[in-house]
This record gives sequence, structure tokens and C-alpha cells, in this order.
Amino acid sequence: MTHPGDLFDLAYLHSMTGGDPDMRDTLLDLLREELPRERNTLLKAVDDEDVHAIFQASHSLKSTLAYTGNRQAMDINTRLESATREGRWGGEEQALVAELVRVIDQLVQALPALVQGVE
Amino acid sequence: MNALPAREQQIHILLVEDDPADARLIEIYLEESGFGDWLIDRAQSIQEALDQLEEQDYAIVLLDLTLPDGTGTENIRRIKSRFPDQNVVVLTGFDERVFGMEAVQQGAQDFLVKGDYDENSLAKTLRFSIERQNFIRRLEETQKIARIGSWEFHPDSGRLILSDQVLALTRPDDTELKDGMPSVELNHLLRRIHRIALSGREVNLDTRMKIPGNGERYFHVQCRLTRTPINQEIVQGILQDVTDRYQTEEMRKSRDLARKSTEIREQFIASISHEMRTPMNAIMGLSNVLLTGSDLAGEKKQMIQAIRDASDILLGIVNDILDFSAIQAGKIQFREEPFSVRSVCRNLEQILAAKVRDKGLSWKMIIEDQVPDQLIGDKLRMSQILFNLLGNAIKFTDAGQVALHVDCSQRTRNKVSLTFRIEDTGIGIPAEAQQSIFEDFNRVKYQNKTYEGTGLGLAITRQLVELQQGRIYLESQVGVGTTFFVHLDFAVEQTLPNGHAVMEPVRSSEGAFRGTILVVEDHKMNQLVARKTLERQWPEVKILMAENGQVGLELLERNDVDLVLMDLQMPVMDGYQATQAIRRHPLARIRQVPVLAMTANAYVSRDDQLHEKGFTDFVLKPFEPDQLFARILQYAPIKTISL
Repeated sequence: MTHPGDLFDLAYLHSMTGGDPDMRDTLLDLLREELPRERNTLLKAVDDEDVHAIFQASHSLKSTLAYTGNRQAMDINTRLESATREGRWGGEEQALVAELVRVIDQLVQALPALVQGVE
Repeated sequence: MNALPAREQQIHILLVEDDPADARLIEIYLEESGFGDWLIDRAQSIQEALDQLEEQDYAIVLLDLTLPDGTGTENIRRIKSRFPDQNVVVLTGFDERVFGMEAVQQGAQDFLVKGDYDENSLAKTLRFSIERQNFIRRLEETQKIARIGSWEFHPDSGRLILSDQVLALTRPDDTELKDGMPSVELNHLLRRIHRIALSGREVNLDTRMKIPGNGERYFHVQCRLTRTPINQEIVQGILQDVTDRYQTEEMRKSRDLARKSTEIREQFIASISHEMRTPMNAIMGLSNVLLTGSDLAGEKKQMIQAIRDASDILLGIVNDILDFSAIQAGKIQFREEPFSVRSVCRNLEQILAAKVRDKGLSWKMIIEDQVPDQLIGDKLRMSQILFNLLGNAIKFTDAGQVALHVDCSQRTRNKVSLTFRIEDTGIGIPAEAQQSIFEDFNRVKYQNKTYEGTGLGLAITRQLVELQQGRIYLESQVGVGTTFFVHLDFAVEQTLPNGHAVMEPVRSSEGAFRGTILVVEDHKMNQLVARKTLERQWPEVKILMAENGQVGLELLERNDVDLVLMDLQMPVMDGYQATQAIRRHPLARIRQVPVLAMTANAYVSRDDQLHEKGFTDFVLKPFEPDQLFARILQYAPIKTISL
């Protein structure tokens, strides 16, 4: 199993909380709620083959992923957002979604351990 | 006043006279004339006189023209040929006064007719001869300084008298100048111009001659025909070495030509670059359009991709040439404006992300906490420096990592020295190439492969760093990687443009913002972060939260809002539509509210269209707290800020 420390870089999250533990916990809780929800929103848009909805889901994920600090996910998502903003939806973009969801699942799976570690 | 030594004040005369009575008469006249302190040596023949002149300097030679070993003007010629500068006054018999005239023509200062002079005329003649001789010497010195020589040509006799300076200028390596003969080239020149002068025309020309041992020299020559008091024709002329002046003039012409050429080159480069950019933009734009079409696949897509990549490289080359030309012409100017160093680095990160990704490299960026964010300097040039170095790092790295590290080596309240470290795990630079890597048009070769580019990138980068009094250097190991170090100093921004708020450090205790901020953002985490960040900074701030533009407009109408933070992509009504509605609102207080776009897109944030669409400015997402606070303080109405 991948260690949470390899998946998360919480420097940004910490910088935004300014050392406030309550806010940090609130953000981590929100992350636990928002990541799976946004993942599902993305997959629903993919099922509907609604490229604009995929773009919106990807755009929303951009902010969420920034809090995880996971470069790989952020990078894949940036490519997906850029492609779907231009209306592109093909094999390449579908592969991006698959890869993105795989990384998000890893993050979601590791989040509880991370929260405990932080606590 | 210092008295001259007695010996130097004494006038030493050589009397060349074989007749003891005539010699004694001279002495008597001199004693009676009160001529001064004089001393006479005596010679009784030309040979004896020549021997004594070898041994001793004489102010005057009083020369009898009838001597045992020579008569007539032959005597003066013999003395003058050996001692051309010698002051000679000739003594002639009453029937030989014609020889006296000839002697003067041969170089004697004057002549005295025996039996026809007394003590006064003797003293007067001698004094004048000394004065004339001194005057001639001073004139010759002046001519020497001015590199002017003179000559006389007597057409009747064919006699040519060249001054020492003419000989020195035209035969500088000749140790036998005393023969008084012109060089072959000078002789040729003089024959040509004498013909012109003798026809009554004045000669005034510049010419050049090969001078033995002194290369080719330029001369100004003037001469004309004159007549002596006894109506003899003489061609008199001067010759001046004007090589220095000529060369200076040539250099000035070359410099003017070079300047003109540079101006033409700059105009050409600017013009051609502009002309190239326009079609290149079309090629790149249309390539992008084709690439985004869904019907392109396989080989055609690769070909279009190749066209776009080649255009991208070409555009880089054009930009390099333009920059290089501007640096060469000293036309680079650096701005002094506030900027966020983190924003610049993040923009670069986004711009280069695709290249890093395409090469399968990993990317790392560390900006140390102690680096102040708000600096004053030229952010575009700083961005260009880092872009060039990071672009190279990616280009020359096939596997591994490219990293940007920003640290603060020195810091005072007003000034900071930043060190940018650009690291790669690429091919490395051999030690022998590390010195020349910053030179113009230096292109890296590695394993017989030459990488694309003009070879100007690093030269431009170095110039941009050094023109800002910075320093750039590198450490590299072949096969391991390269690290470039850039040291640049910046002023730390202390006050905002309105001059009312101290921005750094921004602390709630120092600058309390008591106004109302409307945050229009659909993302829950961003909403929370925005709210908490602002409330932590300014406990008295009032935050209104809207999840889309429509709700934002409604809140704006119902509340007195000082500033709006507006996300761009939102459901129902996006940030662009909401901002346009704000700017068209019938209530002035709403139309005039500052609206800051919140965007993660570096391209959008650089786009002037943001301003055209009604946004006051932008803040980048993810938020950089200092930048966010600074922007709010910058644009929020002054009445809401208290210190």
C-alpha cells in the first residue's frame, strides 16, 4: 500500500490554514467529502458523454486536488480540463479520466490514514 | 630670476678668414660696437673651419668667400652640406658682391662687403642673423610638431631645397638625410605639382605616398609660384603629414557607417520579425485548431503536431533575435514595478508543465518561506531568465528531474537578494565548454548531436542578469546534470501604490480591514479557505459568500460591498457574465466596485481581456495569502483601511 506521505503534499493546505488546527481539520474533512463527490460527478459526466460537464467537473477538481498537493493528479487534471475546454473528447481524454480516477481513488483511500496521522 | 650661465650668454663666433688684417679689423669693430660678450675663434681655410665646427657649436660663422682651399659660393655649400642649420654670414670683396647674393640663396643669413661696413652695420648684421636663425629654429620646431615641411624649387637652376622636416617625413628610415635628396616617390610628386605651379595655378591637394618603414601615409600639399626681390621665379610649397587626421576621419566615417548599418539592421530585424510573427501566429493558431478537431488522427495529427512544434521553435528563434538585437543596441530597459515572485514561478510552472510531461520528467519547485512575495522589479525579465534556464533544463534532460529552487541569501527591510537554482539531471556540460556556454551563438553539441536553437538563449540570459547587476554561473557534471545559479537583488515593496497601507508584514494588528468582501465561488473548499484566510487576517472583515454569479449580484444589490472576489467558471452565471452585469448596473456604487478575478489559469490572468471584460485585476488560485491581502488592500477604497 502506498504511504500517505507519498501521495499528499500538504504544504499548500498548511500555508492556507496558517497553523490553525481547526481549519486544517475542517479542510481535511471537506477533502474527504469533496474528493469522492467530485470523482463521481466526473464519472457521471463521462457516462453522459457531456463534454462541458466533464470540463466543469475537471475545473472543480482542480481546486480540490490543489489541497492534496498530488502533482500527478493535478497534472492529469490540467490536461483533461484543457482538452475538454476546447471540446475534445476522444480516446486520449478517456485515458486521462481513467488515470485520474485511479489516482483520486488512491487519495481517497489514503485520506483516513492521513487524517489520523495528522491528528 | 635665474641668470643664464656666463658660457651660454657668450656669443661664440668662428671667423673664417685667411687675411690677418681683415680678421683684426673684425675684432676691432666688434670691440667698438658694444656687441656684447663675444668670443672669436679663427680658421684660415674651409677645411680648418669644418674641423672646428665638428668640435664646437658656434652662434655665427663669419665666412670669407676667398680662401686658400675654396672660393665663391662653393665655400658656403661645403659648410651648409655638412652643417645645414649653421648660421653663416658671408664676407665678400667689393667686386664680389654678386657672390654674396648667391651665398644668401645657398643658405647664408646675410653678407657683408669688405670695406663697405663699419662697427654698427657689422653688429647689426650679426644680431639680425642670430635672431633670424633663432626664428627659423622655432619655426622648424613648430613645423615638426605640426608635421609640416617646406621646400623651394628654383626652376632656372633646377635646384630643389627641402627642409629637414620634409626629409624626416618622407625618408624617416634614411640615416643619410643630409644629402637633401627627395625620395623617388616624393620626387615624382614634386615634378608633377611643379608643372602645375609653373603654369600659374596654385596646388592644393591631398595625396598619399608609400614611406619606407612607415607604410602608407597621407599628405596635404600646397605650393605656388612666387618671385624673389630680384624677380627670380621660385616654387614654394609645404607638405603636411595628415595621416592621423585622415585616419580619424576615416574612423568617423566607418563609425557613422557602422551606426547607420546598425540602425538599418535593427529596423530590418524588427520589421522582418514582425512580418514573420504574423504568419507564424496563423500557422500556430490554425495548427491548434486542426489538432483540436476530432476528425484528425494518426499520421495527419502527428504531421500537424510537427508543424505546430516547428512554429513554436521558430517563434522562439525570432524572439531570441529580437532580444539579442535590443541588448546589442543597449535598448533593453528594466521596469520597476511591484510583482509576486510566487506568481511568476507558478505561471512558469504551468507554461512548462506540458513540456515536462511530454518528456516524462518529474518537476519540483520550492520557494522558501523566507522569500518575500511582493517585490519590486521587472517580472517579465525575471520570468524570461527563468524560462530560458528551465527551458534548457528540460531540453537537455531525457530522464529524471528538473527543479526550481528559490531562496533568499540576504535580506534587509528594503532589499532582498534572491538565489534561483535551476537543477536538472540532464546530459551535463563538459568543463571545457562551461566558460563559452554564455557566449553568443554558442550551441551545445553532445554525442555529435546539435540541439536546436540560435545559441543566443544563454547569452541573452546572462546579459539580462548582468544588466540588472546580477550574477549567473553554473555547476555541471557530464552525465549527471547541471545547476544554474542566478543571484538577483530586488527591492521589497513597502507601501502600496496609494501610499496608505503598510503591506509587509500584513498583520491584522497593523492594518485592519473593516469593510465587506463578497466572495463569489462555487467550490466549497475554496469558499472555506477564502473565508477563513480573510477572517484570520482581518477579524473585523465581513464576508459574504455566493455560490454563483447570479447569487453574487443579488447580494451585491442588498449589501454595501467594498470589493468582490470573483471565480470565473461557475454554474448558473459565470464570473464573466456576472462582472459584465456589475459594470452595466444602474447603481453607481455597484458599477464602481472593484472586482478581482480568481483564476488558476496563468494564460487568462496575463490576458488583457480580463480588464476589457470589466475585471479590476486578478488573484491566482490556489491562493497565495500575501498576494491576496495585497491585492485587496490595493483596490479596496481607502476609507475602509485604517492603520
